[in-house]
Amino acid sequence: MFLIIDTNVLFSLAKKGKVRNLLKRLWDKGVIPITPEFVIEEIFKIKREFIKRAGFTKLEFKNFIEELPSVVKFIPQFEYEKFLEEAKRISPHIKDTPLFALSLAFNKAPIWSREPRLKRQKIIKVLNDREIEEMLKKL
Amino acid sequence: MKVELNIPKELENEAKKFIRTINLEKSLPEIISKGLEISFKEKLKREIAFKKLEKITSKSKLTDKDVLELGELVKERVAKRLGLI
Repeated sequence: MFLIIDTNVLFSLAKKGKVRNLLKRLWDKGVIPITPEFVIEEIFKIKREFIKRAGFTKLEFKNFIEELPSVVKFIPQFEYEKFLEEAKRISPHIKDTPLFALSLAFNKAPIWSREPRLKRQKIIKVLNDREIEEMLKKL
Repeated sequence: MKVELNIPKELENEAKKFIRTINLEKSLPEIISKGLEISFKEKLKREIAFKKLEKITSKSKLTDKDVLELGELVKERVAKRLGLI
């Protein structure tokens, strides 16, 4: 089973809390977390802001980025681009379109997001942290 | 020898095409051993990555608000890059 990871969940991996543990448990249950490839490049571009807020050193930022592909799979654009138009019609905000396109490309895989806005549609299942915990109990 | 494979639904067609192109009886032991090796290496790499992430982020000052705001910032940039905005 595939699970689409919203960018806010990716950033939560750089924060103390339960997200890292939930992600680890998902892997253990055979769930493959995926996200659009461009995300990692764009995180690089907001490096300063990220470092400032997290209180990381440049080396800690580099190490964080380097470990991400081992815990989340980054999917290239060609795998989901043909679904972008359909995703535009579903997505509650244009910014979320790539996530919905990726979901459509992977047989309507659910999305894990901490942003409640994504739930304002009925085509793709969107799960928050608590719902991920519930899903894990059933797997 | 009978081998059963669980293939994700979304990969079914690709898997069928792939299986037709190989001599399974000849290649299966090698496929299984390579598959196990890759799977083990990936799992080990992932375990190490989770440990490293835990260490790196132990002093992180990020808040729930930060992760939402940074997430929005990156998503907007990705959407622009894909020509959506």
